[in-house]
Amino acid sequence: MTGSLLQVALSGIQAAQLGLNTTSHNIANVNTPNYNRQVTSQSSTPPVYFGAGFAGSGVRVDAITRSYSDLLTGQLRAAESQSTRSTVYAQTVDQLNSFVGDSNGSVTGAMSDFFGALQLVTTSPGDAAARQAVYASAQSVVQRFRGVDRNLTQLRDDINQRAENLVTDINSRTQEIADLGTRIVAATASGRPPNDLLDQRDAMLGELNRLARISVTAQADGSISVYLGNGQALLNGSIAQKLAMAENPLETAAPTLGVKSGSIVVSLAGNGEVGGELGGLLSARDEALTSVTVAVGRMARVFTDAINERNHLGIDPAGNAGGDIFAIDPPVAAAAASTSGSASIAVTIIDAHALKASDYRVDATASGYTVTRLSDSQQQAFASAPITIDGLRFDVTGAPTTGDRFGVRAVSDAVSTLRLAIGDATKIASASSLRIDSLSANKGTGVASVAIDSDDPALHDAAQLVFDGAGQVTITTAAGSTVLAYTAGTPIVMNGWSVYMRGTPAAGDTFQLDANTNTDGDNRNAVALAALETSEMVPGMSFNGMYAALVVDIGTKGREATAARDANEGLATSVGAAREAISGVNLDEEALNLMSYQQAYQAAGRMIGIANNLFDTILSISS
Amino acid sequence: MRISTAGTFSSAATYMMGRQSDLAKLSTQISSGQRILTPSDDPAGAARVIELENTKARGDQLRINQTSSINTLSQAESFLGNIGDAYADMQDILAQAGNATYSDSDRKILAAELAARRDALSGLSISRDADGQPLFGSRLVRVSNSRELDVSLNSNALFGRVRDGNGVFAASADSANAGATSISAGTVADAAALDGNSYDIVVHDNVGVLTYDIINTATTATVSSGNAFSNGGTISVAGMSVKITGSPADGDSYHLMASTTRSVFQTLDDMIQALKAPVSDDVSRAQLSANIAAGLAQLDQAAETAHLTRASAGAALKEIDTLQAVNAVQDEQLQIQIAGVRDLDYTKAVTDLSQRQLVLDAAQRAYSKTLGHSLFEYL
Repeated sequence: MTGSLLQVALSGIQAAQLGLNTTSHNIANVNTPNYNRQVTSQSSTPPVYFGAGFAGSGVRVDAITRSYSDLLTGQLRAAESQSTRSTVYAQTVDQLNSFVGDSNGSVTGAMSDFFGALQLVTTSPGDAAARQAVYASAQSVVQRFRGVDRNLTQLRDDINQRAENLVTDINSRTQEIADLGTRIVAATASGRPPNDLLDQRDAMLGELNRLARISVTAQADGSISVYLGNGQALLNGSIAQKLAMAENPLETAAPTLGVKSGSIVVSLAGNGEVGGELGGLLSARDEALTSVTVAVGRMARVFTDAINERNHLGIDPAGNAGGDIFAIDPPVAAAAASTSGSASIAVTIIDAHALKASDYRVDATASGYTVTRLSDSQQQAFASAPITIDGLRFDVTGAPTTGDRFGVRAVSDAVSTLRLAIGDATKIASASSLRIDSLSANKGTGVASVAIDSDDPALHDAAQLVFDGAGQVTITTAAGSTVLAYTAGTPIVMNGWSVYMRGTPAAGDTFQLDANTNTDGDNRNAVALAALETSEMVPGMSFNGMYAALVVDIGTKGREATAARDANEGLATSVGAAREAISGVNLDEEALNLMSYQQAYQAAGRMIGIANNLFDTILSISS
Repeated sequence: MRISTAGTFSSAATYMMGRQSDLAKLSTQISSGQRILTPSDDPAGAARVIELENTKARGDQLRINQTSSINTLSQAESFLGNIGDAYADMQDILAQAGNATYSDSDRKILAAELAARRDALSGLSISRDADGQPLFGSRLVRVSNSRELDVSLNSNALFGRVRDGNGVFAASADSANAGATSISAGTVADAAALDGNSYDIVVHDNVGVLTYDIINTATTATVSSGNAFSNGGTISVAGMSVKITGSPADGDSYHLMASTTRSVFQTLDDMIQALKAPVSDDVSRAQLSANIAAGLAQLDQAAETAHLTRASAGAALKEIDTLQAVNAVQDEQLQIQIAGVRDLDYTKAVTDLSQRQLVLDAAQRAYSKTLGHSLFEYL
């Protein structure tokens, strides 16, 4: 009887000891991340039959289990990967905001200085110092553009490098999880959950999940399958897939995520769905960074084209026709690695003002070509080359095979080739290349002036304008005579020039239009150059408007990213708190547990004393 | 609900860091004085600031252009004034030369004086402005975003294309005339009747009775004949009126020709030659006074051209003056608008700052109270 009393007391001591042990394990792990509070579950041992009935035989500890919720862990993973993704995205967009919003380094500031310097040239076209200022500010326009481009390229390289590192990290973590999985499967076979191993795996999954969003399905044997956010299987029991960044020569040199199959990397669709840090980086690169890059690239192309075109229409102080002030390489088309035909594409800009802020993809189809504008994924089919779209012309040489694919970097890598085409300030064509004068025999009061509107093959052809005094003017050039109507106050427009009349020309009055040779004091083309600042460059926008639109775009993206980051952080925090409510350690609770197990232990110990006393009593009777 | 101890600490840390970052942002805003630190703070506002600052920079540039064109135009104006004075002086000299009491040598002195004035005028015609730019040349000035002012001065129009006669037609006595007469510069009596043709007036002495015929030189058709001539009487043809004074000889002729243009320097050279020519008889005296009259008329035309050009420079100056005033108001408005969009409302910012500080302070106290106690203190 006492024997069993001692047994009962011992079972109580053992249970209390395990309880104390578990409690102190909990206390020790109060600050361990991802730790799941452990609890002992105990039950009374089967009773022993006596004549009078069943007598209790003590207590036993059934299991030590984790306070763990599958549902909340899954929710927490989703929230955490979302939060990491938006944090990384917001960081990148923040950086872009500082490149774009920095008024000291902004392109628009340099452009404003450039046009300001041109204005100074208009006030004194012969002044070498004023011209030097134009040259210096043209240099700083190039430097600012290149500076922005350097920042953007560096950011892109950083992102690609980080993505590369993350992929390596993901691969090694997946392998670790697979290795741990085999130990868990072995331990689970014992019938009791290996709590701390499971915690360890959960912690590793949590960390993996921050790199890229994962979903986890558990099997009864303790093994798990892990899937990426875009559905790609990452781990299947103990078999881990290897990820890699795949080169993508088509679109702005942006490697995409792929799966290694032997030595080949198969690109995965849906890079934006990857989530986590990797997903955040890739979507920041493909959405925000690309939209800034193409917008700046388009600006550089339009700017270069507009300034050069106008400079061509004037003559410099030496009397030479104006040339290019800025130079920029033409767009390039790259063939995808899978391309099998012999075709290549040459790209020409036919109208810079019609350019869109986008690159293009050209797919050869059975019925011709499909051109995709990457900024809005809009597709257009063409039966044959040359293809003209958005101010660009694609000339195809050679025969493409159906399925061949080409990437056209129309604007995205434009800035890296932007440079000055002039070596000094004398090449700014400040004077107009045309002049008009009245003949001395003229009887009327008419005074003519000429403005150049656009480049025309016949622009510089000498012309004689003879007024008939009755609303008509005959224009005679080497190509023949043309009769136009003349209304006072309305310019006479031909061959790219406009002649404005003041006063009234009499019948027979003649004006001679010639190539200008006297540049002294002539500032007419400089005025036209300076006026480009406020002219419409692309539909509805001046240079400044283009830049402001870019600022609005990236600013809005930044604002959205910050809002999304805060919201996702809030969500992750609240889901985390819900998980903590179940799995977290509360020290006060553990203190109470400690006291309660201590008291149980003390009471059971007292039981042993009593059993001892009882035994002594029996012994004293017999002696 | 169970509260996890670690969770309590980390949420306290997260919350307080959040408030601290709010405070940090507010202090950056306060120390920079700007509400928009990056475009994401207010995308539309940031773009608006770019637009406004660009407009303001353009306004500043336009002000420089306006000042520069005011300088150029003022110089041109005073220069044109000088030219007008030079013409007046030359007309004085010519008028003196017409004085009947002057001898050949007196006129030679006047001729030398006129030659000196001519050289001075030719010096003026290649003037440069303060920036070293020629005053004569094709010049445009952008004085507002939508207005380009043509401030070109054309030396050809000013000096080279001066109309002769009275600007419409030139009346002259034939150089072979035997009578001592002079013909006035003439006036336009009827602008509508002007036909641009040249006419000759030929005087006939019919035994002491003077008559004149009018002949269209282009068609050689006689327009009218046998008109009675009276000394100083008005002769009219095709809207033109002239007066011939003196006593013409038989066969003397006078020409009314549609005005053409000549260089004022050419006229002056002719005048200098005319003054140098000796006057020996009534005929050559009449010739001289006819020449002087023609010269005076042409200088009148040249002065008129200079005067009109000066008036248009003045009008341009006035326009720029107005634009400058408008520009100044716009600049002020832009400054206010930029400040309104970009600058910080200090009152609000400082209030926000102290409010957030208060919240952070309260949170810190609350956390230190709740987190500072544990059951373990009683074990």
